[in-house]
Amino acid sequence: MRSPLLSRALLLASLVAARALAEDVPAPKHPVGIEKAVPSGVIEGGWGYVYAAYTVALAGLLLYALSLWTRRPGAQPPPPGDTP
Amino acid sequence: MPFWSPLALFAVVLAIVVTHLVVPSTRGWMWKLSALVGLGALALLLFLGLIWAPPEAFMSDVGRILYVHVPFVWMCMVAFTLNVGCAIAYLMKKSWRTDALAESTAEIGVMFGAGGVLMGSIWARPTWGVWWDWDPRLISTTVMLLAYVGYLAFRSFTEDPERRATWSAAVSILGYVSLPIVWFSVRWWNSLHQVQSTSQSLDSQMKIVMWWGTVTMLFFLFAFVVKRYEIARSRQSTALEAPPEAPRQEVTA
Repeated sequence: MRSPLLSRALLLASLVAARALAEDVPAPKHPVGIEKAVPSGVIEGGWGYVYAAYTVALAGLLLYALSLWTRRPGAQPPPPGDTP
Repeated sequence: MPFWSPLALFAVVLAIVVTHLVVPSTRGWMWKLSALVGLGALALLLFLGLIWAPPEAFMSDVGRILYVHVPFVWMCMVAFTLNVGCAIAYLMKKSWRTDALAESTAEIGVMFGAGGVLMGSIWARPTWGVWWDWDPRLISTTVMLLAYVGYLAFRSFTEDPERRATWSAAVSILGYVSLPIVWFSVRWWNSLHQVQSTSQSLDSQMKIVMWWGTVTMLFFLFAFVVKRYEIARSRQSTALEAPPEAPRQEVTA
């Protein structure tokens, strides 16, 4: 049987400990409880996405370079009316 | 791969840009050198990003997408910053050169931005579970890109070169307001998109690849700007030679 004095001391100690912990741990920046909704773990595989992204990067650079080449000054022949 | 290698590569691109600006006789081939070194650096980036870099702690191999996604978006921001600089310069001292450079950087920025968004969408599918989300970062980026697409559309629809240059400079300054919003959107609002990585939060190997990718894209950015500037200047001279615009000679060439 726990004495009332001991119970009060334990309660006080737990309150002090809880406050100390609360001061040490920074407040979460996201809504409380969201951890339950967010799945945890490591993504497995996904190489298809990686190759797709690198293809987009290479194709973007290549196609833009090609567009500059086709639009280069003097690339298009003058209109028929301009030729003598 | 030594940690200073991206810095050495940056010194090379800086030397190319400075030589191009300071020594006019090198302007005919300096962009070729930039494209050539860029291609070599790109080949190495493929090796570094796909093989050499370790998998990310949570995203695993999907994290490798960031080595091309982030440099593309950064190049977009660099191009738009150059664009607004040219716009302000044009409004302060009217010059067809700054107007041509503004047009070039806007188009290249849109190209890099669109590529970056597309790669971001591919990255989002395995990490977020969706291709697209109406998140503050994504919305602000879309608005920014649409502003610059509007800028380019405005330029192509306006025939008077002087009016086009003046008004598009104003549109550019207005459009640039969206860039800091894009940058800080992940900090200002509760965004699904992660906040910017710092030197402390990145693994040293990942940091090397990220910077290597960024500097590699700088080579292409420079080569593209040089060639697109030539196109813009050529179009300007054609427009200024045309009869309706011929009397306008207030702007220095």
